[in-house]
Amino acid sequence: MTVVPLVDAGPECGGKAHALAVLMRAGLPVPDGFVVVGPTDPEEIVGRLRGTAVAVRSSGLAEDSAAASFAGQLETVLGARGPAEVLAAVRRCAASAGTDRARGYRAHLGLADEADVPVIVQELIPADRAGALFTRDPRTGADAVVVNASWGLGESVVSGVVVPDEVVVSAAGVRVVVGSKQTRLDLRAQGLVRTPVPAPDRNRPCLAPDEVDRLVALGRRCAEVASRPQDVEWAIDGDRIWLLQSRPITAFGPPLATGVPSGSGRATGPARLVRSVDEFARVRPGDVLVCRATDPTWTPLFRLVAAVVTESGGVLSHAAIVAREFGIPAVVGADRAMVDLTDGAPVTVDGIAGTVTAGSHR
Amino acid sequence: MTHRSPVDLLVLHAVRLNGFASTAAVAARFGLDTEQTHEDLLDAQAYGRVSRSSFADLTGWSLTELGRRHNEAELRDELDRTGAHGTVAAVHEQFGPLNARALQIFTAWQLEPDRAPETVHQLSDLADRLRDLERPLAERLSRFAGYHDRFAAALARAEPRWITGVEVDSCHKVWFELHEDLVATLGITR
Repeated sequence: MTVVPLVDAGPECGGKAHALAVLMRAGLPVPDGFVVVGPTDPEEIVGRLRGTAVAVRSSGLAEDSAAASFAGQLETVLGARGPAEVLAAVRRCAASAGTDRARGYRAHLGLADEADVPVIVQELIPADRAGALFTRDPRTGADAVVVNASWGLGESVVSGVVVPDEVVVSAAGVRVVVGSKQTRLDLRAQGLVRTPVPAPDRNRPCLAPDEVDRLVALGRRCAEVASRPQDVEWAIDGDRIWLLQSRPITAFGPPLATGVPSGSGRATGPARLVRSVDEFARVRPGDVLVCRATDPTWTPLFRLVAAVVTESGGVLSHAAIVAREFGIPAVVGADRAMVDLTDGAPVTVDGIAGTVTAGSHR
Repeated sequence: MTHRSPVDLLVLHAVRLNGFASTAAVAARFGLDTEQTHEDLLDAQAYGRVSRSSFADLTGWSLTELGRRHNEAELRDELDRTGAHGTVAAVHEQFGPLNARALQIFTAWQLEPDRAPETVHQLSDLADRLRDLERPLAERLSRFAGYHDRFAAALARAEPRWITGVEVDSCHKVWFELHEDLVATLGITR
């Protein structure tokens, strides 16, 4: 049997699918689906489709569990419809471990090569609001739930296209910072469509207070089930809240450095403070490159490293653009990084939160 | 009359602009003879101005700190001798706001693929502005010629990797290089 109902997924179905199955078995609202493991008769996949649009994601075995989060490294196809589209999406995701990008990334980090990746096929929730939540503040380690939310599908928040609303819920109360939420991605009859968010909706919070309460409660349940703080992707369709992914928060504590988030995902490695080209030889695959600026001299190093931290630059900088091309997380404009980080010490770079924290995953 | 920079300056400057490059790439930057460039690089290495290093699967030349200072001193002398400082400084002034715009366009290209046709249109406007920036520079110093043509050629490829890619002479790479060239020539930090 090479197609497994999502609710039955075990570790052999990859980290992402297994984590979702654990939530489902605990009675949490996870969209139904199945996992394709290894070579499969297309008929078996087609027979399970129900005519709705699906989200197809790779569920790499090393993903979410190894020294690096592969967020953004492996393939996701949103909104596939009909047998032909779904089968093509499954093939693409199964092969994604073999893409140059993913293989290069694993090679960077010295992880074993994966020939074939399990693939999750799940009903795509046509979300009106979606985002991420952290059951502990990843920037400070404080006991607070942090919710990021924007209009439409969660892709806008996860990929960093929009500045989402941020709601922080702690013993001190609820604090809301309204983000600019400029665009939204939605599932329409003709497929995925990105449109500008009308000005009035940009300037108001996209979550109602009772929705925040429900999200916080669901997030805490995920953390209980997993017995550790979680980073959860969620979506709201009408009155229902769905959980799309849950994984351990990988680094805590007050950040050693903060800056402008660039690129996506998180990565861990030893900080490598490099002052000039004369020190390039010290950089090893999987290091976190920490440097002042990034003129063209530095960009070849981006091929090698797990993440980049620069003291200069902003969201619109050459360093951010080059990091995105290599698919590695970057934090730019972290103005004291060379002072506050220690050469050789393991750090985790979060390209979504814009933080550099001490320590490694797990 | 446009000033033609001496070959030893061009070799070192090509290393600076490329950041990290093979002998062939250094020579190609200003259309120099490859064998002669190899000799010049070995000389520069003997003076401690460039170093040859390997990491991952790459081997290439880069400037040492000493080489960087030497390159900047040569560029400063050249500006003084040719009286081109005013021209380069004025172009750098115009470059500032255009660079902000360019970075915005490249970032949008990466993050908002749905807007690609609009982005390509904006890049073609940017190419026109680049031609206007390059003209006065190249009239004083011939080594500044070519940025616009390379940018336009990359844009004409109409392939994603030729817009922001790092392994080819993409629009972003050309733009980034001009930024580095202006900064190096004026001896300022970005």
